[in-house]
Formats: sequence, structure tokens, C-alpha cells
Amino acid sequence: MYAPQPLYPGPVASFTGVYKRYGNVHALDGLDLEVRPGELLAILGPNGAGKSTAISLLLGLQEPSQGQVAIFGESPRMMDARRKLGVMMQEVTLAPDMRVRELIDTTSSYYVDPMPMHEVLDLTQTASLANKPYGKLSGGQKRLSQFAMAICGRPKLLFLDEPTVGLDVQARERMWFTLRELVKRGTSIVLTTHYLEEAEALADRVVVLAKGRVIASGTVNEIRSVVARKKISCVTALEPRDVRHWSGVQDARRDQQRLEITVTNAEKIVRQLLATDNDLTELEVSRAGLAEAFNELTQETAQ
Amino acid sequence: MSTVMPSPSLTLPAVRNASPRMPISRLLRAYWTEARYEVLRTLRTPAFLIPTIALPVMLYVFFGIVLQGSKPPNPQIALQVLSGFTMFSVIGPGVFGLGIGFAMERQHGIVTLKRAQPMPFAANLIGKLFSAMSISLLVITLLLTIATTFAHVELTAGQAARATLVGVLGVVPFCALGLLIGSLVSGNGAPAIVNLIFFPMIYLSGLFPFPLPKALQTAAMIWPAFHLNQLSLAALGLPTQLNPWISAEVLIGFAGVCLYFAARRLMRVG
Repeated sequence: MYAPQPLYPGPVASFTGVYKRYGNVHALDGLDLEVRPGELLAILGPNGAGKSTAISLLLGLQEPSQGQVAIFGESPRMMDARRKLGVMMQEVTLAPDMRVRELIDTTSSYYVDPMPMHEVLDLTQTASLANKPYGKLSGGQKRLSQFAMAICGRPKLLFLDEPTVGLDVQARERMWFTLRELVKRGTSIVLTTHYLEEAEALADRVVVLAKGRVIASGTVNEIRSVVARKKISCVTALEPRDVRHWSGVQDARRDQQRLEITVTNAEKIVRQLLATDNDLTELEVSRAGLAEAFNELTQETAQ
Repeated sequence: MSTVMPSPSLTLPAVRNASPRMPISRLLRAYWTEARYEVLRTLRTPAFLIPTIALPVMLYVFFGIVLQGSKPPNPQIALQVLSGFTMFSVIGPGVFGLGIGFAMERQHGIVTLKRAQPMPFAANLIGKLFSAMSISLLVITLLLTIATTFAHVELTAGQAARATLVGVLGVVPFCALGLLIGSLVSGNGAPAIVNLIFFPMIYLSGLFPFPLPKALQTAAMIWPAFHLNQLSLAALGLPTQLNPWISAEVLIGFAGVCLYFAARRLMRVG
């Protein structure tokens, strides 16, 4: 096991007042965002929110129209800064006739102090794929190989674009395990994902982008609590129309025997329900999930 | 006892300076790794290897041996035929290897990925150049061996060495042309475009041992392949139409122009 790497004192990556325009389209509209040392940051956002643009600026593939993007205090175009970066991108088709070991070896050669091959293979559990040609791998195995290439240089900042798309449940769990392991070693990780449960399972902090700016930022719990709504579910003789007019009830519907109510003040409604129906059973109160929070946040911005 | 936390602004530069520099040995290793795997990939791709090696060899055997019959060849003509086919053989790996290979890698996102990764400057392209040179060296050696063994061509060691050197270095301008094509067109479109340029160029620059129509003979000079052949003829000690230094300058200029436009295009669109 490696000791955690010394942490960089400033943010490992930052956007400061970043604008990016393509003609009349404002892909980024004053983005301010910092990636802190040793954190796993998940960037969420609907399509067109500016995620891809933010990512390509962070990787030095494009220049901002205005504002500053930095990794480790330097321009992402500087080689010294990029040598601390590991990357896993979407929509890359690697050479089908190269073996996984050779692909990792090539990427390793770009770094100052890469991991030994066996360590990369162990950590990503790709040892059984090492001698297979890339073109012969399944979709999930290809993603795992790309993941191995992303981490082989001991990056201090690991950037993963939708890393677990196409992985089966087992492979996804494995990748999550490895990501947690890397965070323990001091790696900062930025990932974009469509799977909200992935952000819930992994992220120290979640940032929601919409229309090229940050509309919410915080821990998963903080983001969830942005949305005050809760769900009450119970078995009762009451019908949706009986409760819909109660103050604080946003929605009520019947799901087989259960009554499902969306409310803003759960305690008050629960008291009212219990008082109205003495035979009420199986009462459950749950907080809105990240998915509900995300939908509500992005819809508000769209309006 | 008090603990003073250093302010970030004070420690930032120190940390940045402390980041380990890439030692030259590792940098060279990165270039070598790219080059080695590029050669390996070429050797694993019969679809590329067979036409680039088998085609020049077959054509040379046909024109240089079969058509010659049993009568002893005119030494000068035999060398001219050999020169034309060796130069034909070095143009293919450059134009096809880089033109199609690079266009494919751009289309597949590999070029973008490598730009995001800390790949040393142009290591992928230098690897491809190295691979094209290796293939050229292989074909030239094969052709020279066939020429001296079966086609009754007499070569001194000096002639063979100079012709090989011209061939291997001659790959560079055609790799530059390939790179330009590869930076302009998609992977799917590249084979058609490369063929469209390659075969007319080979014919119109007079590399094949049949005379061009009069009107085209002077026009042959516009093709880089013509100038490469001039250098090869000079290397073999044969008379040339132009001063070989002029041909060398034309090729260097051609490579420069191709690289300039390829770089401009890649900086704009990636």
C-alpha cells in the first residue's frame, strides 16, 4: 500500500469566471468551480449544460473565450501540469490490434513515475485481459482497459467521463472500489455521470451544471436537502382526492393499496393522516432522492 | 507551542517547482515506445503490409525480370528501372501509413485522447514516421537483393548504401503529405483520397519504365515523386534531368508546406 500523496495546498483545478462561446451559443456562461485536493467531485447536468465544454477546457483541448482555467495552478496546456493528470474519455476507439498491456505500456511511458504494470492490472482487475487484443474485448472490458490507462501514471487528478457506461453491475462495483482506493491514496477525482446513484455512492461533493454555470454545489445530502419535498407512503382507506386539498400536499396518487403523497412539511401531514385514519398502516417517510433533486433543480433553471 | 499554517499563496510556487521533471531518458523512452508499437501494429496489419511490400516487389519482378527476358540488360536502363521501383516502394508507406492511419486515429478520438494525455510532442507522428521508414528499409533491401540476384543488376556497396539512404530519408516528405491528408479528411474518406493522389502521382512523375507522353514529361517536375527519383538516380550515379540539390530543396520545401498546413489545420480543429 502506498502512503497518501502529499496534498496540493491550493485547488487542484479551477475555473474562474470562464466563458466559452461558439458563435451565439454560450456553452459556458461565467463558470466558477474549484476541485479540492483529495476529493471526488461529481459533475452532473442535463445534455447541453456545458459539461463537455468544461471538460475539454480542463484537459487543455480548447481555450476559454474569457476567464481562466488552471490545473495545479498552471495552464492545462502546460506539459508539467498534464503529467499529473489521468484521463478517461468517452467515444474513443483504441487500436483493435493492440493488446491491453501494450496500450497501458504506451500511456505509462508518458509519465515521470508510472505504476509497475502488475500494479495497474491488479488495481483495475484487468490482469486476465492484459494479453488480449483491444478489438476482441467486450464493451465493459474496453472501459476497464481505458480506466487502467487513465490511472497508470499515478495521476494526482483523475478525470473520468462517464466511466461506468456499459459496465455490468460487478465490474461497476469493482471500479467504484478502485476509485475509493485511489481517493484514499490522495488522488483527486472528477467524474461526470448520468447515473445519479454513482454520484450518491462515490462523491464527496456534487456540482450541478445548467446553461453553462453552477446551479448547485454541495454534498449529496446538501443537494438533496435543497429540495424540501418528502414522500409519504402508507396503506390507508383515504383516497388521493381526500388529501390533495390539504395545505403542504403537492401531489397525491394511489399505487395499488398504497397512497403516495409528495409534501413539503412531512411531520404536519403525518399527524393529520394519523388523526384522520385510525387504521392507517405501513407508514413510510422518505427524503427526495438525488434524482428528484436534480430534476427539480434543472427544471427550475430551464424555466 | 503554536502551529502556523503556511498560506497557499506562499507554498504554491514551491510545490510547483517540486513537481518532478521528466528525465530525458524517460522522454526518449516515450518516443521509442510509440515507435516500437507503431512498427508492431504495422506488422500485425497484413492489409497494409502486403500491398506496400508485395506490390512494388511484384511490379519490379514483372518489369525488371520477366519483361527483360534472357538477354543481358543495358546496365543503365536496368538501374533506372530499379531506381523507379525502389522510390515507388518508399512513397506508399508514407502516404498510406500516415494518410489513412492518422485520419482513422483522428476519427476514433485517439488523437484527442493523446492531446489530453501528457504524450510528448508529436510522439505518435514520429512513431508513424519511424514505422514508415522501417517498412521502406525492408522493401528497399528486398528490391536491391532481387535486383542483384535475379535481374543481373550490378551494384557497388556504395551505390546500394546511397540508394537506401535516399529511400529511407525520402519517406519524410511523403509522410508529411500523408499527415496533411490525414488532418483534412475523415478515416472513411482517407483511402479514396490517398489513392486518388498516389496512383496518378506515381504514373505522372515518370517512375514507371515506360515513357510518358511528351506533353507530360516536363509536367512530371511538379510531382515530389519525380524529385525523389532524381535523388535516387544521382545516388546510383546515373544522369539526372535536374541538379539533385534542386530536387532536394524541392522535397524539403514540399515537406515544410505540408507540415505547415497540417499543423494549422490541427490547431484549428484538432
